[in-house]
Amino acid sequence: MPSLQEIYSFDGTERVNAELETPDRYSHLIKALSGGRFIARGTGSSYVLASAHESSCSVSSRFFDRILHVDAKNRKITVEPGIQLGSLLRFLASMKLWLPAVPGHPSISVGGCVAFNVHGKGQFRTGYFGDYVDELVVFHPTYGEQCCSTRQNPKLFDLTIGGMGLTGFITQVTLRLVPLTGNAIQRTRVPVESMEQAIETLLSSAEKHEQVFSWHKLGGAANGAFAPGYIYQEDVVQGKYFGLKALAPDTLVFPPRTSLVDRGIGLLRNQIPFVYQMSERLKPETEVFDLLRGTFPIYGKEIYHRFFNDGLLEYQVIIPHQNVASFIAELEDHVLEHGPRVSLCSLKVFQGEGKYLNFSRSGICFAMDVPNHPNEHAFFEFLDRLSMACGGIQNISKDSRLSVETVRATYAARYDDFKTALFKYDPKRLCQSAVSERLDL
Amino acid sequence: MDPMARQRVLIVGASSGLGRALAEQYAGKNCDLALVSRDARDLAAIRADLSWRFRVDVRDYACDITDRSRQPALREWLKSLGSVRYACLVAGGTFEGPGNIPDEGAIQKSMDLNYFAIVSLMNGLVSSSFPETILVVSSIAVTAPRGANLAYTAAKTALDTYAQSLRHFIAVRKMNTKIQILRLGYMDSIFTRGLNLRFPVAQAAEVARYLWRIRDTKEGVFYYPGYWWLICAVLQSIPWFLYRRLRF
Repeated sequence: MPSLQEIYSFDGTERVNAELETPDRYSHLIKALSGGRFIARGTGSSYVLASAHESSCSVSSRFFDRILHVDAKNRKITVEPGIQLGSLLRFLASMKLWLPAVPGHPSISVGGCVAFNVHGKGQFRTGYFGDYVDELVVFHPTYGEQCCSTRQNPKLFDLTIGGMGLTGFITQVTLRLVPLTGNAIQRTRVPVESMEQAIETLLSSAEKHEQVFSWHKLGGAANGAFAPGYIYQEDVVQGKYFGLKALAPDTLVFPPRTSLVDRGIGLLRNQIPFVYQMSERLKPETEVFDLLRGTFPIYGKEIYHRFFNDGLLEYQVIIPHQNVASFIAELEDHVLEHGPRVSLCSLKVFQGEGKYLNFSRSGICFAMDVPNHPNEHAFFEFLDRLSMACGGIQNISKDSRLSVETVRATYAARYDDFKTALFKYDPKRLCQSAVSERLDL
Repeated sequence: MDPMARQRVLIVGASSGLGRALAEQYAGKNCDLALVSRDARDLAAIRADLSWRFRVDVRDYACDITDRSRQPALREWLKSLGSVRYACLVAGGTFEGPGNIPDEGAIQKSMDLNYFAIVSLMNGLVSSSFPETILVVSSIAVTAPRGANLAYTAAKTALDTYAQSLRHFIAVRKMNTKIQILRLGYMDSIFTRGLNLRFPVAQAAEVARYLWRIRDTKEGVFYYPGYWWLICAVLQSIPWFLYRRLRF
């Protein structure tokens, strides 16, 4: 029985009253998907509201979280879309297999990873989640269940990888795996004085290490440099212990909080970069984590989101290498003049040019978090203009205020190609979400 | 190693809800499983998942237990399992719309699934497989019937009474099988999702963990969550002129 619920985006800034159906067997699932407009919903951990719409029924994959087949010889696994990454990787590690391109929290579902073709910390080396998808089975009321891959029905496959759940409900995902080369993750922290130095270190580290990313305190340092921080270099190693701890299968959904305690906590958020920098200084330069803890750095730090009781805005953009210097120069001027309250700033190296609305381009990925406040909206609007001028593309899955005009301008033909292919596949547009409406899809 | 490891556990109604949670709980404790459910695709998915994740032997049989023509074959399959340590007969469901007097079809379906089919399986198990424990799922509605789900409540009451009688039958004959009758409070399922209920709703996995803990210790009628015993006792003590005014 569907229930009417208030459904939030993970960043807490978008909300709709929508019907939510949570089928627990296939016959109920197919019935739920055959009653009109619907949209698939995983664990609801997307920053944007990609799994709900006021006139669609959100159909949850919560109970479709099983391992259906393992082909250890050919290193493939077939799962249902609701399986969470933590549970999947824990199982794979027990078989000495691994999935390299995964995002930062174990609660995220495999279906969600396909829908946004997500990336990990080593995108330049491991590619995207979609690069490990061998085959999908997608249900759409018009076509029934269809199998698709690069070999069979490739148009549907391309449209579904990074397709934001708009092609139907994925019922099966077959993933290609890689051998697990170690039993722990070694992380080395390298301090950098400025963002420019960070870019150089990131690019040189990317040649030697499996995963590389940075953290910055966005602002001027005492020595006049802009945005000092740390580079983190990670590699899978043979550690002295194999502590693959079970991770609780909690979800990441945080509705905005309004209590006085939460308001009080919220006042402390401006101190997050300072506290983080201090805590990092106390840690050893090199640390070894068990595989799951190392793979999912956000796990255990969910309290971060409690600091944003009116919601959190995240900006992610890939700037092509040739324009990175001018992007940083403009960013520095703006930050020093206006002082936006950036609680997190991180950089990664990206490689490759993808299709449609996938967040893919060669360059440097800049990620920034700010509280959901009009002053910070102005900062993000500045970033929109700067990104466009520098040939960047924004991550649609992170930013719930991105307009169709911005996406059209930055994704250019890729947006039009996606829209044309989507309307050709599903002229009635049965799968609708708040994101698809915002992006006129 | 737990003494239950590699012992066979039969779960009827295994494809969803409490049955699926029990299957995961027992597989997690290295028990071999025999799963029965109507939905072949769900059953195949659960068998694959539990076999891969827990490396236990899972056998499955897809059939509608209310289809009497399939019951001889089901009984044969049950016999082929050999010994069954624990039998969880958790299949059940309601066929009534909210706020309606159930029609004859709904009453028949409810009795077939919640009473006849379970009783038939219980009888078969007691007389042939001799499991150490048989669990049947009753309902809190049995002690405090209310003006909703009339046919479901009647069928569960019949099952509850039959199971209690069978328990006495077994005790008199000094047979070894234990009968557990779980009067289950609100549990997250397709029947409760979306309803505005006045008491907390237990998750199926939580109920399964509880049933694992009490597998060898409890017998007869018991409630989960335990506080429902008190609520039901209070409701039973309310005189009719007040009870008729309750809306719950």
